[in-house]
Amino acid sequence: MTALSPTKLTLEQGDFVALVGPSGCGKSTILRLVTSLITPSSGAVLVGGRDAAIRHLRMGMAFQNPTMLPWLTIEQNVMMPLKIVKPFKNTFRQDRKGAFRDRVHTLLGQVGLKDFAGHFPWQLSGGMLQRANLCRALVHDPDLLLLDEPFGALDQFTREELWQILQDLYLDRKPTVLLVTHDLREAGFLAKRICVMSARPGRIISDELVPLPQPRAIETIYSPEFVEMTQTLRALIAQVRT
Amino acid sequence: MTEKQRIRMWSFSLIAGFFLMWELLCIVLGVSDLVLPRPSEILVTLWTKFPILWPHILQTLYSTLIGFSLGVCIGVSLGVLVGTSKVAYSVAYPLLVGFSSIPKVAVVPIFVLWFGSGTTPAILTAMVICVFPIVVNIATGLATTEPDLEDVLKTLGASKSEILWNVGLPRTMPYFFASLKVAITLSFVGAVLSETVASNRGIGNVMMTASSNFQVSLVFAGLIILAVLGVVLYALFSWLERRVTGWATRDTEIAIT
Repeated sequence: MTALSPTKLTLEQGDFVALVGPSGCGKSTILRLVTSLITPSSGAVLVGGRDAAIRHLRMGMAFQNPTMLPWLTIEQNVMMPLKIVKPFKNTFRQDRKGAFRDRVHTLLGQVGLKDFAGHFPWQLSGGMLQRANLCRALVHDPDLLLLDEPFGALDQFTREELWQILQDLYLDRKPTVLLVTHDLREAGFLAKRICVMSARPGRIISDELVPLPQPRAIETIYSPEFVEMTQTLRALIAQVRT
Repeated sequence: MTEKQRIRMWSFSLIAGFFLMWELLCIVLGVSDLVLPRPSEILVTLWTKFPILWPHILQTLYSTLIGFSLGVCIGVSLGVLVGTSKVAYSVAYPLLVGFSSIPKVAVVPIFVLWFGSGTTPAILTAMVICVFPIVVNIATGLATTEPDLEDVLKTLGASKSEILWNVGLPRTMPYFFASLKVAITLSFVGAVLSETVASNRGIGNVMMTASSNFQVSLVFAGLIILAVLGVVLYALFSWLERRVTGWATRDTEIAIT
């Protein structure tokens, strides 16, 4: 089955792009292509100017499912990328009790999980796991952060709280972010640019800048211009769904 | 804790009650010693013959544990080999099931033919009998690892062996330990089996000799020893299982730090 029609999406360094569209339009396929979990049947995916399969940029990814490894504590889970990704893996043995541990704890502190480092995943709520998931995606200072509906399964309040946490983390570290979501407010609140995809086989049909300065306060999402922007996007998606 | 203690007490009473019932029924029905000796007689035999039995116990334990260790090494390597590739898993599975369904009693004569009677066939029987449950469990554990968990590491650019060490094997541990508990008791059965057929040492041989001399209470003493050893080995591996794979059973003692 063809998931994507010919399309082109370019991200600048430090960009925050949200990808929205009807379900099954190939949003997640784009993320899986960028991380080279799958290879394109035709065309090319370039990351940092080179073929995605080379993986010469550091990538962090968070899925909708927190996928914490159940046999490791939160601290050990968040530390996992440092064990795998160069150059951290070279000094993992020496640093895991020192510098890396501090790094993990700082990050866990930023998302309010300081006291849960030693807990196991099943002892935490969904929202807490998703915070830990964000930490794991960011711990190795990725150049490119890929988020696949990371807050989809959370309640409204937890979601808004995590939007703010993600915004702070983004402004603090400035990675390039590609966020796949079906929540238009999430896209509008977090992203610098919003790309809309058509129904399957998907392609990008709209690529607009969000005309609001960052950092944005959570109240922004109730302002008239924000509501107008999300309404326009909504109408566009409703139109391409059929 | 009181709940746990109560269950323990009931288990203990059940065991004690079983032997008491046995003793009473033998007396009431006047069963001959040659058919079914009373537990008290068995206990006396066990006590008086213990110095003679001890080297045989060690011999059986030795064969069992050596065979079991070899079986674990082979089982884990084969299991990893079969489990890491979907193709290998589907291709090798019928052969594995075929091998594992051979009654292992049938291979003892072959080992005796090849290696003569004694310790070697006992070790080998203990080994072959425990290999397959381990292979099948390791392979199943690896083959059923959630792709999501693997994707996390793949995204980070992890190699196949890094994924195996950090996701596949830890996830397979509950399967592995479940199979170890089965395997250790099977190994034990294998060693004793081989001793009864072809050896002049070990508990199996003691029981065989005793039964041909009509020393019935010694046969039963052998049975009791086997049961106790089996329980001890099983308990040892359950304890190890709880220590290593507490996360799978959500063991609060381990989880809360």
